[in-house]
Amino acid sequence: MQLVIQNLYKTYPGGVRALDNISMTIPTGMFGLLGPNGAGKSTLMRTLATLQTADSGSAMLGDWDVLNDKKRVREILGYLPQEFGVYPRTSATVLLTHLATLKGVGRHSAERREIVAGLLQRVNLFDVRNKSVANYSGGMRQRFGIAQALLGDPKLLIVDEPTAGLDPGERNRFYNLLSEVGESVVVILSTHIVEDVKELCTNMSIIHNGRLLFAGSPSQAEASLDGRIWAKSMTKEELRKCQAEMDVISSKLIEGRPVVHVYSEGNPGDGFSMVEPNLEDVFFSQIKNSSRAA
Amino acid sequence: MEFFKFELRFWTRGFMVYVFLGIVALLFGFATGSDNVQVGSAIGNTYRNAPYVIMQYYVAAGLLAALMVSAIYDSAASRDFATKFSDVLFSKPIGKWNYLIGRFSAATLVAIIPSLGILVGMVVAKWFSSMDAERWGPIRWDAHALGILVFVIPNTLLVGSVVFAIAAWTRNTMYSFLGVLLLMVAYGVSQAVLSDLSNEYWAMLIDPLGGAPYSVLTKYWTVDQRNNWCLPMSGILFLNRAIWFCVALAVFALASWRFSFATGRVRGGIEVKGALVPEVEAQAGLIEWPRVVPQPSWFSQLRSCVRLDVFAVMRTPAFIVVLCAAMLNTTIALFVGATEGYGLSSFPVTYKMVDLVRGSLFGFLIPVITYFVGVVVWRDRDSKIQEIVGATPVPNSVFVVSRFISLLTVIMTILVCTILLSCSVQLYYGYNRLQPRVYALELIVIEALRFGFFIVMAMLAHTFSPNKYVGYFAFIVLIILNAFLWPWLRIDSIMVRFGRLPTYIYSDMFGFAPYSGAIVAHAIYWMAGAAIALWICSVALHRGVPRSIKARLFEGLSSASSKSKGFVSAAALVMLLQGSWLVYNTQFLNTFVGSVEEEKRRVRYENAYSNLENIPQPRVTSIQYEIEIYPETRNMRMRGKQTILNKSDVPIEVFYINVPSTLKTSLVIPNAKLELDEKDLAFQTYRMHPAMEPGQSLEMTFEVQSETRGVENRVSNPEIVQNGTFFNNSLAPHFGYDPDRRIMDPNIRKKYKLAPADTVPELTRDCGVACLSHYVALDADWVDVETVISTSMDQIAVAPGSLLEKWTTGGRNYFKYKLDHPSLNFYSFISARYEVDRSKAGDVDIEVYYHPEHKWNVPRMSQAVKAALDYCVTEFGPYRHKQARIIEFPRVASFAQAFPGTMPYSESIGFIAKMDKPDDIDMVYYVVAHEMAHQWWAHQVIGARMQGATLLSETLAQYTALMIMRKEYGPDMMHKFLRYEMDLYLRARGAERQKERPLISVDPNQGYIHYRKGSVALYYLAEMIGEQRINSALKNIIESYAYKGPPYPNSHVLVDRLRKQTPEELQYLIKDLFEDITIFANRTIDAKASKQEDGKYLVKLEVECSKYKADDKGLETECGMDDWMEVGAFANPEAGQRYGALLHRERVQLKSGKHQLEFTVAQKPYQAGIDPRNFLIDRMPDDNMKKVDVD
Repeated sequence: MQLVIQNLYKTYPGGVRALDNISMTIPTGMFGLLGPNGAGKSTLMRTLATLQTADSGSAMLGDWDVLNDKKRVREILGYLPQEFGVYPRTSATVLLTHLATLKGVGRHSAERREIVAGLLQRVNLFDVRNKSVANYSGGMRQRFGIAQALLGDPKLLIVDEPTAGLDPGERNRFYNLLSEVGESVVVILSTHIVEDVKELCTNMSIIHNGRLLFAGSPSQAEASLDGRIWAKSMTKEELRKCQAEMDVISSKLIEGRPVVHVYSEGNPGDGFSMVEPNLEDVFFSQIKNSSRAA
Repeated sequence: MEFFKFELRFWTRGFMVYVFLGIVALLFGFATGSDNVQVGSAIGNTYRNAPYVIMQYYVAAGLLAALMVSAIYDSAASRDFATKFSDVLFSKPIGKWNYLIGRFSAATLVAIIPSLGILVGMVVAKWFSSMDAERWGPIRWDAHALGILVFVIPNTLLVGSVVFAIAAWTRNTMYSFLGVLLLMVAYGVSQAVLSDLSNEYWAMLIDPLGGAPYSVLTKYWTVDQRNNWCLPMSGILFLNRAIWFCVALAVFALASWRFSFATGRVRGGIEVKGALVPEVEAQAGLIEWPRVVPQPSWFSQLRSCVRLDVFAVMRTPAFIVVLCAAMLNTTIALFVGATEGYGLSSFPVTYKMVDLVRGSLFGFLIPVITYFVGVVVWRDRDSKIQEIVGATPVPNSVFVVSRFISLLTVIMTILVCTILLSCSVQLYYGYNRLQPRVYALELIVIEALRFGFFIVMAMLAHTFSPNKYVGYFAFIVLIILNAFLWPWLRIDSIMVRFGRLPTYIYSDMFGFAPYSGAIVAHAIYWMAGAAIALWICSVALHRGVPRSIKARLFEGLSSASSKSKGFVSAAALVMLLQGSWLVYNTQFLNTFVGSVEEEKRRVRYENAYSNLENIPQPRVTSIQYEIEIYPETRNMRMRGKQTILNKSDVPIEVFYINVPSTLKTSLVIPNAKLELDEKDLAFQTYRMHPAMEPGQSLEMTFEVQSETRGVENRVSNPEIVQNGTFFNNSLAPHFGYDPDRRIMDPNIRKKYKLAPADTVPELTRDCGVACLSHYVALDADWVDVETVISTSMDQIAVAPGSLLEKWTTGGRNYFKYKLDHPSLNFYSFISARYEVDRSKAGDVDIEVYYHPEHKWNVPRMSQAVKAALDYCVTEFGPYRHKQARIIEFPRVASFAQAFPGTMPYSESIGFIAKMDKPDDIDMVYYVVAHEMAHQWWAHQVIGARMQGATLLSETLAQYTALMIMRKEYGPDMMHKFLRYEMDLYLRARGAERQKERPLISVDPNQGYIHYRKGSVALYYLAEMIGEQRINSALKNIIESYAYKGPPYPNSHVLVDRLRKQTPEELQYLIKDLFEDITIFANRTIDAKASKQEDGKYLVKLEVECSKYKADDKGLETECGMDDWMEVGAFANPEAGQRYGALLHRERVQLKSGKHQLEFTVAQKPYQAGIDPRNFLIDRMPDDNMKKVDVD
């Protein structure tokens, strides 16, 4: 089963074009949706999660019309929004059971109880299941989020910026959990963190200002820049000069000195050395290109 | 200083304070400038901006302002913590007291601002109001200043310190509001305590807002005093204010002292948030989780949502707090409510409990619903879970229905608890007739329906709003529109007022029967309407990302399933069909006249026909009725054959006849031709050919039909019901211009440019034409009445006179009655399923017709009838009827009334009265005695239609009842009773809408004069000249005037005879009591006693007395006096008694001013003073006596 998105448009009342002719095909497995803040990722995710309407275009998951047959899609949808809260004074068991009922999981309450207990065990929240979710730490709450997204047997799992606010350990553990799920279903993971995609996803796309800039696998992406990324460590004065003269993709501090990555068809000389392009280079160069084109 | 400035800046830049100010200004501006909005008690003839009104508004604003004030203080106290700014702030080197006092004083200053809205509103209203200039006085800045100083500032400080302390302690807004609610409950308790006269002192102290001392101290103010006086801050008002001011300071000081920066909390404060859950890491191991294919079911989704939503409301601290306050308030109301004024208790009958619940609980429930509809509708969004929930396969309808059901469940739960509470209170009072069906129908069916509609309206408002706050606002606007728009547009049909059900009255006699059809029909109509509204809510549900209402509606409509469309079509169809049926029923089968139209018709009537007032018309001399009552169908037919006589000395060419406006009427008059039929005015003219000659008599017939057809907008003719039909002969046509159809309210008269008018003509000693009719019936003198009345098999029908015959035909009961003596043309017809208690007093049959469940006081009633008969026959003259009947009628009205030989008595008064404490006033006895006395004073001697007429009937009936009661209960009980009479008289003076008149020329509408002052005056006169002298005057009146007239006697007849009976030295009493409005200011300055050698006590008194005469606006001028005053002493009262034994009393002649008096008593005196038994009308009765200092 795969999700086919065609010519999706969305313009907000203020005139912001959030989705601008987005078309892509998302196969089963983990799919990374990469883009800077405000690129339109959340709009796309919410649209696929039936929470928002597109102006035009279509999205088909197998035979299901995601945009129009909302009720059926919701039955096979698992959704973890970017930011979510919970009802106050409500325990994990109560809340998850409630969500399970809403989803229609479990034919009777005994079965539902069993499923909820199983899921809570799965995300290792079983021991704290009777505590108020509102008092969970960020990581635990995120795991609760994944547990509710896994209720039933989702065919489409949408995970929007799930690791924001998690420490590296929590993040790792969270991804391990996610990757186990993502084998038989379509999992869309939106993020602005490049490593996330690289570590997890077999396919990815980059969107920026509502437009699709790239679609393919992370390695394809990296290969597209093969031999064109050059790096150099320099002083801050040099950096300023370099930014003015060259096609700088990124600069970050390593041991206090700026290390600059530039895009160049040939060797720019001046102490630059060729480096293996990484996904970050792809991301930044795509965004740069698109901004320049715009 | 820095904190003070900062806080002040914070508020002056925000808009909240200005909004509050605006609300208060609008409310009180309207209350001042419009007759339609009333705050506090009615102000009658007082200037709209009188100082009394100004101060009263500052008192009344106390509760409203308390809420606003608490919002301000709460914010001042907890803002730093709520915004977590405290961590930054408290790390700075700042002084604690500096911080707290700065904040507190700035908040105080700001919190006073909203109350200034009263000043703004009242001053502005004067310019904008359309009222006459003469209803306005000058702007009284001094009263405003005093109001702010005495009420606003101390109350603000009190509420503020409590809120500030709680907020600083708990950091939780909810608890602050709880504190305010507790203050309000204290206020409620003081109000409840106030209803018993003997508790006044304590009630005045415990009212935290100062309203109780204000209302007690000003309760006897007359119009003139209300217009001119400012209540100074002294005496008990000062004490109250001082106490609560100190409480405020103490609370603030305590909270500040315990406040600590280190923790940012008051030590010992409450931990509010739960502890964080200990971290549990995710585990790497693979555990398979159950994968199942979802099978969503509407009902299990709904059930789960309802469960969570109900919890969401019920577990909120706000809810718990408000619920506790509401239940406390209701409990108090239920316990206290069983006791009414006059120290009278009644049985806690179920309908009364239901009314108490309505009065005490609903004031809380309505805000609760308003608030929690918002909470529930926006809960998913507020807790940021809406994206998760929105992406579940739940149809919108589940959310909408769930919210509706949850809120209704919450309300029902509260109502059920309240019912249990009410039942417990009933059982506590030893009353075990619990009537679960009445509770269920009143509270669980009808009220739940109303609340349901209310919830739907609120949900609709929120659905159409982009956020919660707009939603609240929209809802309040909607409520106001629903309540005021339609009347303003002159649309009286309740079919346009969302969720409105017809008004009804429950009676133990007929249940809901006359109203049930209309209630059910409207309920179906609005249930369909509510279903449509819920459907709209579901279509336009807030789900997923926030979108405009247009987008939501568009999408919702385009994606609505066929099931959903089917549902709404069905609901619309039901509403349409039911609506058309209702329109047919209320507008075509029945008609109703709106209140404005009714007013206009009365104006037209007066303008067109008032010139006919003194034109001679025929007078009725005898009537034979044939009346058929059909209780099952609420139909009635009355046929009358009456003999009319031209008693005037001119021929009568035209008959002017008023016909009943709502009933089908037909008249057959020989020699008459219908000339004019004004249907709207229910007025017909007939031209006579030939004219009716003087002395000529004619027989005419009329037929009046009351037919109940379908359902009505407002149930008319509630006097004809399934059980307890009670109507009088005013349903029959009557002759001549009827001045009682005029509008009497002076302001409405002015609006329609009608000249000021008196209810009846002025009192004139030698009256000509004015004495030719009496004030009860204009077109008859003494009539013979014979009635054949029939009703259903299970009911008894009663008409005036002796029962001659009784038979059954065609499954109906027939009764034939005939008056034994010609009587006033004023009598009632009654039919119900009665139990009858029969006894005899001499030749007279005593009969009490009562609802079988209300048997408690029946023996007392017949006993009272006997006592009254005995007294009146001995003292005044013979009783001319062969029976005296008391007949219970449903509580559609709550009075007792005297007709010839028959006294209908409402189920809501004497029949449920309960006397278990020995000092309870026996109201049953009193009312029966009063009505029995009317058999002489009204039904034998009736006053001419002019001022003072009711002195001859009502005042004399009061006097007679007092004498009968004194015989039964002794003078001490009368003392207690008269205190209430005096209190009611003095209180009512200030609310007089026209002129206060002396007793001799009392207006028939001035009940506070002819009943209350009448009691006090005649009892005092009896005390001074003796009961026997009064009675011989009265006996003389009966001898001269019983069943005589025209001409009819006027009030001079009584006053002249009393004057004749009064000894020379007391002649001033007649003028003081009857001809003037006389007020005393008597007090005892000092009371000392010393024991003599013979064991007796010498009492030395210093007293001061003065006498005033008041004009018709209550302006008092001192007049000299040389009156006989009583002085005396009481012994120490026994436990539980108010007064001790009377040790001494003597009458001394005193002039105005101070006097030293001495007398000896045999026992140790406890209290001594002037006018010890409060016989005189005195604005401060409590300072008459003083505790005696015994050496």
